[in-house]
Amino acid sequence: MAKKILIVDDEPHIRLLIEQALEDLEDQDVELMTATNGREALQLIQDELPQLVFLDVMMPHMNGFEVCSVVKHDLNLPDIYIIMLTAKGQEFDKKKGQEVGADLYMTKPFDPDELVEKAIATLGLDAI
Amino acid sequence: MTQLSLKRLLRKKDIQFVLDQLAGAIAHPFCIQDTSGQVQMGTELASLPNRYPIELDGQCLGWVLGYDDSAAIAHLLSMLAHRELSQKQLARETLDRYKEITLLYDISEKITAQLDLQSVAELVLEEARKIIPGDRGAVILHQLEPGATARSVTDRVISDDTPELDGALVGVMSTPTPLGNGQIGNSQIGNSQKNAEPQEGVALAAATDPELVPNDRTEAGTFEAIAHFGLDVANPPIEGVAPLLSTIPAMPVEMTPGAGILGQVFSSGNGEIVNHVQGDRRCQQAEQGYDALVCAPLKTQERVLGLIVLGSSGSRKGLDSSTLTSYSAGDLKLLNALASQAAAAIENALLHKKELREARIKSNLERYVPAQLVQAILEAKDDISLAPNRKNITILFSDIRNFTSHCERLEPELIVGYLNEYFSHMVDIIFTHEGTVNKFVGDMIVALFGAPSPMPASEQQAIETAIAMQRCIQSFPLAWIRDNFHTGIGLSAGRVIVGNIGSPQHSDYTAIGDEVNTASRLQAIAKGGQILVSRNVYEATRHLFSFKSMGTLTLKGKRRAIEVFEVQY
Repeated sequence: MAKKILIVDDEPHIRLLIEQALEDLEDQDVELMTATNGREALQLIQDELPQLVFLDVMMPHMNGFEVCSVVKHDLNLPDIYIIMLTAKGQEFDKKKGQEVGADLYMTKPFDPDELVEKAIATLGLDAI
Repeated sequence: MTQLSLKRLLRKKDIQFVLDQLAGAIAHPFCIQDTSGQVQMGTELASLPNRYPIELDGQCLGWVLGYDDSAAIAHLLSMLAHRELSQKQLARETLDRYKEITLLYDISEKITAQLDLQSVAELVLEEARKIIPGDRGAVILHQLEPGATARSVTDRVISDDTPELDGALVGVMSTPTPLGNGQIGNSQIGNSQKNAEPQEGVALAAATDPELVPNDRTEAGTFEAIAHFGLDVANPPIEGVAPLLSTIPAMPVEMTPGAGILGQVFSSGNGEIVNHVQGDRRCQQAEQGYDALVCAPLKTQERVLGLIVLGSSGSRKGLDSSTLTSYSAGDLKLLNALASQAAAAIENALLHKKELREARIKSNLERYVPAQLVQAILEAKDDISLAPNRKNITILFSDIRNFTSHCERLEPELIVGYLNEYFSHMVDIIFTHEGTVNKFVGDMIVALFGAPSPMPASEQQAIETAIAMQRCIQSFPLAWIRDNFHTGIGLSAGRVIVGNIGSPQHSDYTAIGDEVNTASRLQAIAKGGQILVSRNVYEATRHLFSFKSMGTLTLKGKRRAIEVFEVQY
């Protein structure tokens, strides 16, 4: 079964560059999906059940914390690995992150290589 | 070079959707085959008569097999491939920029936390290497002081400090400068480079020929690579092993402001890319060993502190021209960004070093003058001058009676121990009364009241000090000192010359004048526990203390007899 990674960010260039960074994983049968807001993300998560989600914290409509909480608690999908993305200067609320069940957080600008490493480790893929 | 495969193109959901729609809409079947002949979409039927190429920038990605109506599909896929590639290139570009931003964020966080000059330079160079290719590079700083390296300055003590002499060091590059910590002097580096790569002494001559030294005096000085890699021909780096920069000593760089490529970057404050260094007519000693280089100035608002250079020496390793490093405008832009961060951090580190130096001067100074006075001197009040001039002061001489005979009875170490204990108590008293300790001569203490900062009642302060000193000795915590150190004190007041007296290499802050001699003579005749003062001290303080007239005495070395009074305490 193909492995799936969902990228959720309202900023197109962030989506684009995460996609670009992770593109080589497609050769290992990884499917990349994107969502531009929390609601769309939730829908995709329910439909596609991705193994890994890169989830921006600051988004309109439904923020990352809310999405994470719904996935981990309401939908009872604790196995979906969620990496929260937080912007530089906005101190990540670690307590809240823990409460909603986030697995990891990264600060933007993040190191694209680190992002790939995390994806490889989470999905148990071969290093590029 | 960004690549795009047919497989990846067809994996796109929107493209898959369009193709599915088309398959239903057109009259004939078709299939899509990649260049290896593998079918990526549809079913290959032997009956499909035509093959239409899917092309991207003149390169064939695969074919659409089918009837006439498949030609349009091939065109569509070619167009989509082109769009996909453009987007990918853009994304790759964005990703590269993003990596650079991450790097700059990273480095600014790291270097602003660093106050040590050496560490800042090493960090910057290490980070630069991560993003800009090259097998050699350096952070070169302009030094106004000869041999004032990051390390040697910190190791210096106050007495070695020489003032920064702007421009007075023209020609210093030709002379070996004394460097601390086993660093090598200029001439040695010059030789080792010459041995490895026989060169005309162009740069050396340029540096030593006064005609070629720029007139701008502020631009003289030396250049030193405080962090570098791949430059040390005597110790080439081991292939594949990143050398620890911190283990590499600083190294002088033969360059002159305005001359050579690096010299011009320094003078103009504008970075440069030179991809064929040896063919550049400006090439001098400092650029030897580079085939291509990218160089950015370390520029603050006020001045250019130095430069950062990265380069390659590919041809020396037998690489042909196609594999040689060639720098782009992007590299320079990145290096410039890095350099401006580095310059700010380096300036901070330099300021910090200066502050440390001042703190050291201060702590040294505080051994001679009270702390509040040091502060006053540092803040350079107008009425405090260390230059010799006439001042009204009171001079105090204090000496232990029969000290030499005590010395004979005790081990020297023990005597020194007692003396230090005694001195520290006495100096405390003098400082509490805002006096200045002028000098210790053996067991004798000379203190001044009213210099370098004026003191309106210096006579009174001096007598109070003398009384406090005598009482301190009489109740000294160490019995041996209490029993054996009996001191005689002599005081005199008047107008004397006070200031830094001596040669530029060594000068003492001292007082010279008749009253100084008088105080010294009074001390010489004072018995243990006695405080003897001259008439002018007595006149100024007779209403404050009780005195006993000792009559008129002729002091040694004095023609006229003077009146002597003993302070009753």
